[in-house]
Parts: sequence; C-alpha cells; structure tokens
Amino acid sequence: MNIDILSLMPEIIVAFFAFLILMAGVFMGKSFEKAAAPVAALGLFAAIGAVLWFNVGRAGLFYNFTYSIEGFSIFFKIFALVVSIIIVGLSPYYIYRTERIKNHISEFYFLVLIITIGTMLISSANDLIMLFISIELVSMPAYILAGFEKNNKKSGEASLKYFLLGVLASAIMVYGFSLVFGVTKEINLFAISRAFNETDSIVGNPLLITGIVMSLAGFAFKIAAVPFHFWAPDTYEGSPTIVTMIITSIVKVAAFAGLIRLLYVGFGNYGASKWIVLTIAALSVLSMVLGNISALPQKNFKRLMAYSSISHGGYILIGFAAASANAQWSILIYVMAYVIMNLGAFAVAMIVEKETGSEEINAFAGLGQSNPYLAITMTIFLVSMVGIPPFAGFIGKLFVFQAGINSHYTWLVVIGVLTSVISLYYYMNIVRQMFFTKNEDSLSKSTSLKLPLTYIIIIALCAALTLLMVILPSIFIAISKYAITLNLFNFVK
Amino acid sequence: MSIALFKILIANYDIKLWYFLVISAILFCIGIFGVLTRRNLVQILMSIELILNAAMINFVAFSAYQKPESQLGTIFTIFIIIVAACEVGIGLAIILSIYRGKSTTDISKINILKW
Repeated sequence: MNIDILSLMPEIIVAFFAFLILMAGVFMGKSFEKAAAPVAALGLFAAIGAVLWFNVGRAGLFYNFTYSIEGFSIFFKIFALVVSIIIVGLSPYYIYRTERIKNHISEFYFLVLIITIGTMLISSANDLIMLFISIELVSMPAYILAGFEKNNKKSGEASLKYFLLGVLASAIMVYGFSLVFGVTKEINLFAISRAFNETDSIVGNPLLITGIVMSLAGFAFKIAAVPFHFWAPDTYEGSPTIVTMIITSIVKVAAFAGLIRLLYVGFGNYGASKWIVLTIAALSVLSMVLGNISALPQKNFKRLMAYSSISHGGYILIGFAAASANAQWSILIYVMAYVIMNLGAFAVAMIVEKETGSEEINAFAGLGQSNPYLAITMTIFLVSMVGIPPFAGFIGKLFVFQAGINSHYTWLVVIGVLTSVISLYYYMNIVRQMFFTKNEDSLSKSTSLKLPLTYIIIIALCAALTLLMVILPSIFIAISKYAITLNLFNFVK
Repeated sequence: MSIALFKILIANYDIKLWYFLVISAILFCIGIFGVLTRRNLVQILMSIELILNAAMINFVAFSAYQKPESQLGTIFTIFIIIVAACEVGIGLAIILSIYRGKSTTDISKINILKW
C-alpha cells in the first residue's frame, strides 16, 4: 500500500490552518477578525516549507499508487501556494469595504484554503477517483464564494449559474470516466496509459474516444473553453471582485494541472487519435475567436476580463492540441505568465473599484494623473496580455505557438496571431481611459490615493515578474522543464 | 457474498452487460433532456442527479462484469454518492438564497446578468 503520511504533509498543514480559522471564527467571533488573514498566510507559508522539506527528493507513488510526488506536482503545489498567498494578501483591503463579507471573514479564508488544498491534490492525483474528488474540492468552495455577497442579487445569480453548469459539466465528466473505466478496466492513470500502449486498437475504440471527449468537457468548463463558457461572463461580473480573482487564477491553475495530468499521464498517446486532437483544436479555435470578438463591445471591466480569460484559455489549448513534449513546458510557462499578469490587473482593478464604487471601464479615467504608479503597472499588465514583446504574455504565446507549429498546426497558430491583434483594441481602450480621458466624478478628483502596503508590494512583484520573464526567460524555461523532465510518467513508459 | 449472488443471477437469467449500458445511456439522455427543458431549479438539480446515477450504473456494471475481484468501480460509486450529496447540499442552499431574494425558482426569471 505504501502509506507515507509525510508525503501528504503540505496538504495536512493547510487543512489544519483552514479548520483552525473556521473554529476560531466560530468561538472567538469579532476578536479573531483581524488575525484571520495573517494566520491563513502563515499556514500557506508553512505549507511551502513543508513542500520543500518533505516532498522535494521524495519522488514516488504513495497510497496504493493514487498519489504521486514528482517535479510536476512540486511545481504546481508551490505555484498554487504562492498564488494563494497573494490572494490572501490582497483580500483584507477588499473585504473590510464589502458589507456582507465583513461579517463572515473566517468562512471566507476557510474556503480559500480549501480551494488551495484541492489544487495541490489535483497536481498529485494519479487516479480517476482522486482527480474527481480534488476537482470537486476546488469547485464546491468556488460556487459558495461566488455567492458570498448574499444581499447583492447579482452575486446570487452568478453563484447559481456557476453552480448549475459546473455540476452538469462534472456529471458529464464522471460519465466519461465510467466509459474510460469500462474500456481500459483500470482507474489508475498509469494503468490506463499502459492499457493504451499495449493495444494499438484501443485508440480507434469509439467508446473510449467518447469517454475521453466527455471527460474533457469537465475541464473545458473549468477553463471556460467556448461551448462551455456561458457561465464565465455572468459569474465574473456578479461575484465580488476578490472571488473573480480566485476564479481566474487558482481555479484555472487547478484546471490546467488536472488537464495535463489526465491527458499526458493517463491518455499518454492521445495525440494518435485524430478525433481527440480535433476536439481540442475546435475548443481552442472557438475560444480564441468568440472570446476576443465578444470582448470588443464590453463596458464592464470584470466582464471584459471574463472574455479575455476565455481567449487565453484558447491560446493555452493550442499547446494541448500540439501533444508533444515541448508543448508540455510551454503550457506551464503560459499558465505562469497568465496568472501573474491577471493577479496584477485584478489588484489594480480592486483599488479602482473600491475608490470609485464602479466596475465600469470608464472608472479608470484619469488614473494616469491621480496615481501614475497604478496606471503604469496596469498598462504593463494589459500590454502583456496582448502579447507585445517586452512582457511575459509574449513569452507565453511565443512558446505555445512554437509548439503548435512544430506539430504542424500552423492554421491554429495563424488564428491565434490574428485574434491577438483583435485583442489589442479592447486592452488599449483601458489604457486610453487611464491616460487620455478626464472624468469629473472619478479618480482624478481625489488626487491622493492611499494605497495599502501589501498592494504596493504585490503589484510591484507582479510587474517585476512580468518583465523578468522576458529579460531572463531561461529561469522560467528551466523551472518548467524541470517540472516536466522529473516526471515519473516519463520514466514509467 | 454479493458477488456470488450476482454470478448466480447472471448465469440463470442470462443478463448481459449491454443491458446495463443501455439503461444508463437512457438515464443520461433523460438527464440531459431535463436540464435543457425544465424551468424549475429543483427539477434541473434532479436531472443532474440522474446523469450522476447513469455514471454510477455504468461503474457498477463494468466492475461486476469485467473485474469482479477488484471492486474498483464499486469504490468509485461510493465516492460519486458522497459528491452528489455535497452537490445537493450546496445547490439547495444557493437556490434558497435566490428564493429569499426573488421569491421564485423559475430559471427564466433569474436574468439580471446578460451580455
């Protein structure tokens, strides 16, 4: 059975702190409020230490081959924890100015930590049961968080739409898992991939291909690829901005980690089946085209970011359609770049929202005069999202497109390049608002904007990383190649 | 013991695997149809449960016919039941909070957010 409790230590530490915060909130009430965020951050830092102490150098399979530790899972665990720390660091400023969340602070941090545990478990999941349970562990708290602002009708509706479509997608995914189980007679990902390799005819099995395509549906929902994207704009707009940030960052990290594990570990040579690759390519094309075109007329910043995240999901799916070893690390680089610039952009947007009380794009008007620091960093993040050279988004797109061309998907890459030109319009619209438009009742009035220290540090950090990714891309390439080459699944084959 | 009973049943009544698969496929289609056509939130939730039940029947049937000794599919079914229970709990809570605000569970009336 190989039970090794130490291998699970990071998750146990985060879970301990999650329940500690929940219980302290129940028994200590108001007096615990101020301490909740620091305690959550402490737990996350401790978990990073535990990953470095207990997981590095302990590669192997645990718990009856259901839980694996390898470069890939260590990379994603640390990444998830860092993203989570950034979210916890940004949250107090937003929460204390939001009436409804203010009274439920400990529940909020409890749910955020549970999402983090789910993401960490997904990156180690080596079994269909484990994968399913950990995806649900990420989704369920996200449904609740989306409806956290209970007296706001928009928030309840956002939560409902997210919940109904999410549960439907995961039900279809489980049905797909059952077909995969029926054909391969295994639920362990290594065993499934062995069944794939042993018989070539299994790739041409229609029942299996149906099963794989159905199980892709669940992940396509989480990354909001186009036929499954209907929840995204409504949920992004309706939920509190801090929750929108959680959905775009850590939930997406979880979805991509799960998709990489399922496709590259479980269905090892899915590239051999034309139908699966065509399905992924179709998801990618639809997301890129529809995401970018629907973003053009948007006036609400969060809704705009929803369509932008749909299109970014499309770009990353090019890497999955390419189905090569190069594509694996280029996906990791794109995910890193996307999450970093998204966190930065949302941090700026949260300050603008709370200062002006508006989520519209014209609330950014005059930010260039009232607070040049925010305006310049926001410009960096937006330009990076378009993929213009001196920023991280460019590196991400470069490697994903390169992997696509190497696998002879030039038409996919051409669509990708053309749609990123479209995206220039709506990102630059925000920049134009910040520097060239004057709005009497917005930020330009309050000339001295008080920034919390955590925001200054985190925004600077995100901007610095966005630049560093282009100045020294070799560091990030080395990290993501380490994550891929230390994989157990490459040794098993 | 249940496996032995199941084997006797299969031997005596000539029940084949595809009977179960057809039943689960029909349940899956009913579930999808229900999600697409129903307007009441609770009915939509019930239709989604039907899809989960279809997956469970698949798992148990595959497990019993193909690998009766390992019971992998049966274990998966238990986990699906747990997750389904959580889903119903969270779903009803969300529906309840919507109902308090709007006094309706009709999904076509929940339409503040669009385009």
